[in-house]
Amino acid sequence: MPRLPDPDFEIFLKDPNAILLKYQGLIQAIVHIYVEQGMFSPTQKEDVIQSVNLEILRKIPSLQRHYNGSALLRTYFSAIVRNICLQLKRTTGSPLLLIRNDMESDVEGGRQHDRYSIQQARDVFEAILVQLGPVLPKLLICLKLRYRYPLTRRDIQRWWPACGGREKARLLEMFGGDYGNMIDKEIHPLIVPYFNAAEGKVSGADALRKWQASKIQKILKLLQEAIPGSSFDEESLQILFEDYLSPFLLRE
Amino acid sequence: MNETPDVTDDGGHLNDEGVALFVDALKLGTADQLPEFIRTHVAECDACQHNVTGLFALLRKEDYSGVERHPYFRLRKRKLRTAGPWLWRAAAAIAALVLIPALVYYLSVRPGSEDLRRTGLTTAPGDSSAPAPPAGEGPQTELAANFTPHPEYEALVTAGTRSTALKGATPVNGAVLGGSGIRFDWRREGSERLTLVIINAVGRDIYSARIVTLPHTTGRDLEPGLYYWKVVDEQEAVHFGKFTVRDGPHFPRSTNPAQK
Repeated sequence: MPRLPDPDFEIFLKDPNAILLKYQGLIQAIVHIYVEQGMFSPTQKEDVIQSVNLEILRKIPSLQRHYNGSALLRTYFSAIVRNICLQLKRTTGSPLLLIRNDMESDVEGGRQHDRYSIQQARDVFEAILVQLGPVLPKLLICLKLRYRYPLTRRDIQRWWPACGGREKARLLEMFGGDYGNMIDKEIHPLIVPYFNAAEGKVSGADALRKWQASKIQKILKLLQEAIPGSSFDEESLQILFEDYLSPFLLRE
Repeated sequence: MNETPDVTDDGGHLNDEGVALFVDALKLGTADQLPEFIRTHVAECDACQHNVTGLFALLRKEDYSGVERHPYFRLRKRKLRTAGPWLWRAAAAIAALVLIPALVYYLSVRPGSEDLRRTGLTTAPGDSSAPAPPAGEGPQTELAANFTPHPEYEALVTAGTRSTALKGATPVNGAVLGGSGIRFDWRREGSERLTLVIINAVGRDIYSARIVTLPHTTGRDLEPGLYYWKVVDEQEAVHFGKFTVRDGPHFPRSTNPAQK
């Protein structure tokens, strides 16, 4: 299908109030999420929606100047609403509320366990992996080795397109089957030469471990930032990764 | 709108429109169409990842399936997974509940059914006898998988190994054996430590032993099936071979002279 301007773009330029009216559901949905996550109290919800609307009305001339129409207006609008909500939180100075009286939630020892769905975590995890873009093939290899999943030809091809047949056969021989009885100290010395060959450099097992650890920590941090109140650790990451590899998810 | 979009700020980070464009890509499955400089930057920028992930999390439940036109991306046919992974899991579970029993029934060995006995067996080159499959205990689907050649290991067996390979290695390729106490033997110069590994037809290691003395006899029984075996030194495999276990552990020992 051809690239075509977002129809809402023209409306936004001619009649921005109509767009604001059209996107009220979007504003309410975003504010509702922030209320669920504890950024605002339920009693503040209507006030926050009102504040967002007023701020958008004030910003419309600026938005009309800056918006190029490259992204869908609804997504761009959502980004603006997000920024306004984050700014409201900063300027009002109210911390995340720990006790919500009229929300369904567990309160234990004064701390609140915010709920988030597993599906939410899965979706956000996949979105994070997409953002890692160029490093994703290497990261997938590392995560598969870490959690002892068999490597496939496709994994190797995506990570190291120029991999020769002999190297590919050796990698599959070592890691294409069940290698669950191998420990990390056995795996790293075996795989590091192949990473070096693929990247044209010389690094040791320590460098690979540090790189892998930094990416895992980044993923965990992004998950927790995107889903306030959540707590992710290595074990939950492994569960998300296993689900990501699930054959039931149709992928490209 | 085909030109490179203006989606970054003075610092090179994604502006609001850039973040929105990336989230559009995530929602529409068009991340591969993002400009290279955006993908490269976001892959390395914590701040932009934070913004993209944060906005995506807010819009996770927003339905973009009705988007038919985009100002920057060429939209492909809607991917099936937008129907929700739960739907596909449910469909797969139902298919499994229906198909697997049907397959088991279809492949089950019935008395006197000679046709079924040829399922999944291979005949090694030079082996004039096509071994009949064992009378089944357990699902025939599992037996069929046990006898199906593994493409990569077949290639390794065919390709051979280093010139300093084992001499006179037994079992010879294609040997048909009983499943109890399989004997391995070879001649080799050098004193490096070797490990014998037996791999089943689906590529799983099922036996591993350091070789101390030769001949080496496996201490475990093998179920009927096609097996590969390799000998590895401290760096790489030095030999690949394959054999077939015809019947269960109580099958009479092979008449192959190499096994006597």
